[in-house]
Amino acid sequence: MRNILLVEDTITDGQFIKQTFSEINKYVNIEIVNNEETAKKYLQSNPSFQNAIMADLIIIDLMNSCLKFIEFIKSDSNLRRIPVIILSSSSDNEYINNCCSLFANAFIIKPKEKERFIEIINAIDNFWFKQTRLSSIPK
Amino acid sequence: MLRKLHFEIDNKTFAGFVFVLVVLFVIQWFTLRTTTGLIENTKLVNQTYTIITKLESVFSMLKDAESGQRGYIITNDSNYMGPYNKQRIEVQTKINELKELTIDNPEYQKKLATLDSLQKVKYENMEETLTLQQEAGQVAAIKSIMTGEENKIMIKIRYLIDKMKEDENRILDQRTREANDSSSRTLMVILITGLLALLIIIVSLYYINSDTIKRKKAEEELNRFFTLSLDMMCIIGNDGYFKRINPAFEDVLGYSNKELFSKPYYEFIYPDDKENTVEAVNNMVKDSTKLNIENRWLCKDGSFKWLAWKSVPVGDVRYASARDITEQKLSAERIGKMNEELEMRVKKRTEQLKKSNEELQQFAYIASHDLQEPLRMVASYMQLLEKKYKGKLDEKADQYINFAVDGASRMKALINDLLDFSRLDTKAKPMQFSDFNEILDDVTHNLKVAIKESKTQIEIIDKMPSLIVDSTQISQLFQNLINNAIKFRNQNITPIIKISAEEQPNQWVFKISDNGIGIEKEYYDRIFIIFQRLNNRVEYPGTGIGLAICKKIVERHGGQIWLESEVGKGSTFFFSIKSK
Amino acid sequence: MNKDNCINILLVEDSPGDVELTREALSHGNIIHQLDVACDGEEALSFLNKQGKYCNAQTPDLILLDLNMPRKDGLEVLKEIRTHQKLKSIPVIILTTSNSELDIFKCYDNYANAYFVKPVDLN
Repeated sequence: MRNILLVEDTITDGQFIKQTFSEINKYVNIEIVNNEETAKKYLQSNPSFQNAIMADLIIIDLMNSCLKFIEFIKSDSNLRRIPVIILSSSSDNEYINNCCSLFANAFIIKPKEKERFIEIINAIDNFWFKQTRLSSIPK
Repeated sequence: MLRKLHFEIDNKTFAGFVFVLVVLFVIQWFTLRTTTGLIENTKLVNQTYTIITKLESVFSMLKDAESGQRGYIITNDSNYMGPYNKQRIEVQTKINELKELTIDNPEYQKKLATLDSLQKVKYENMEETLTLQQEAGQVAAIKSIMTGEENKIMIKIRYLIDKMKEDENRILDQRTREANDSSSRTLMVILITGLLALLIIIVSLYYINSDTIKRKKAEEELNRFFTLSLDMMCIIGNDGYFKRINPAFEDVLGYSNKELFSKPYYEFIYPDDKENTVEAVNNMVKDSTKLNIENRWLCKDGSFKWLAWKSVPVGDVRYASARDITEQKLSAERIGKMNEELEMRVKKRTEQLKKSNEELQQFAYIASHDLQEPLRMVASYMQLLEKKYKGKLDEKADQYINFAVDGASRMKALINDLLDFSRLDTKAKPMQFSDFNEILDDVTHNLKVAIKESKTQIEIIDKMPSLIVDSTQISQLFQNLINNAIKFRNQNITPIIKISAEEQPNQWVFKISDNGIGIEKEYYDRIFIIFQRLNNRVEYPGTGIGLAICKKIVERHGGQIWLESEVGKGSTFFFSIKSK
Repeated sequence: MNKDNCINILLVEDSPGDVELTREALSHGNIIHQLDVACDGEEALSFLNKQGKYCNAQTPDLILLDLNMPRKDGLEVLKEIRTHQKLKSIPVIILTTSNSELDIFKCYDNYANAYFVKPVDLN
């Protein structure tokens, strides 16, 4: 069972991603939060998220820059092992560079077409859950 | 302090004594009665005699008086008048006495009245005659006497007195008879009751005697046991001194009786135990309870022995019995020490085994892991070769490459299986409550392709339970068994796999049956051995580790795995999982 | 990603056998690439720093990094890359034989982008 924390501020996108994932891999659980603050709370196992399971993968799809958030995750010793995937409609090189400098694991430019999006999601599922190895609970 | 008298005689004896008492009482009463009767009788007899005597006196007095009168008449001597006068008074007196004596007898009173009147008449007559003599002279008086009138009276008096005497005699006889009867009766009664009492006393004596014999015997028996007993037995007074001890004391402790009687009991106790013992004994006496205690006593030779005591207070003394448990205590110590030693050895051995096990596990892991690297080279490049040069070299080359590739992939499979097998213990998950229905779902999902290709039908007959297991391993277990069922199917028949579960006390038994090629009975055990295969590799691929893994997993869960099979018809694999 | 379609990949791998395999595998992919190889950590860092014989080297767009290497091992290289101002943004994918949880954790902890275990099978 894999858990994705999806930080998504567009409700429709969120639903779409969740839906698509459930079709391609029934062992994936997606928790959607719509802003960085909530995401932080979630990740820090805040009492309001008592049942929060540690995420295996974080996908960030925010309209605004999320550099601060990436920095936050990658500076936390418990959280940095979780791969962070940025979905962005922006293809600004500098932004991409900044993300990578902050050690985001992958940067994907959000496609506009639905089929392509589905392909991307498939690719994410394939790459991160079926090919690459993820780190489990740190020692 | 007055000691209460204990009444210990048994009921029978008591009844006997009471009976004797009653009998004696009865005798007493009889005797009393008879004696009183006799006394009464005697009184009456005396009375009768008195009456008779008095009656006789009356007559003789009258006779005397008559004589006097006649004498006077004849002689005219006044001396003869003396008795005549005297007797007159006397007769009256006597008759009065008689009247008094028989005052309660009306018949007698009548008779006495008659007598009285008769004697008065007589005296009147005599007076008349005397007067006649005075007046008419002696001859006239004698003539009067000769008429016999006076005699007639005398005869009447005589007759009456005789009658009365007769009566009295008769009464006397009767009384005497009665007295005799009564006496003899009393004697009889006394005799009989005396005999009875004697009998009872004899019986009682006999009874008491036999009782005493019994008691003596019992006492002897007890005494014998007391003396024979290997255990120590004693009576200790409240002052702490021994009142009675059995020979076992000397045997066990070595002191002579003299020595044992010379000091209070606690002087013989091992110093460390003295205080506790004395306290316990005091409590026993105070609360009137039984005491069980173990302590050490000093022996004559200076050593000490462990004794287990049982004691109870009775009245002024305490009864106690002890057993020498020195051996037991020592044994217990020894056993305790041995146990400790054993424990330590076991612990050590377990640690050794654990270490050895760990080393083996590690070895298996490292071996299979490090083998992967060169294997990778071989396998990958073989495959590359195959890809690049298939058809480009000659047929032999193709064949060789095939064999090599095949060999490499088999090696890969073997190593993977070894790794899996070695991981069963090391990479096991903690046991958790898992739903077997879900596990079966996953397994059928995993085997989706194989199921589809072989057109296998899987029937899950029973609802599966939820048990505390390592779900990954159970999944592996089911997967291996189902995979086998699919693999070893009969060609030309639709393979049907039936999965069922049955609850039994403390465990669940699962069944996976197929309609495949079956297994001969002689191989039932072999198939569970690692890497053992029964079929050739080409038709039925596989390393032969599947069932070994199944067995290990089942055993890890406290269960067993076995099978039933018929060649050509199919096989059914059973395995049990503990439900607690 | 570069603007050209060709991406530069630096493979840091000590076993020539694996180098060849990787090369072969990549060739089956759909990406036009150029593969540079460094056979150990020191070489890799020289390459990245464009030192000595690597003065004309191109900065790679992707680094494939093996862990078990003599002298400097993969983890050290990773650490150095991630602390280097100019190099830290390059995606690094660990490609190693090690299956160990500890290694996986250490790599992610040091900001590796992904971790792959070299498969036994060519496919």
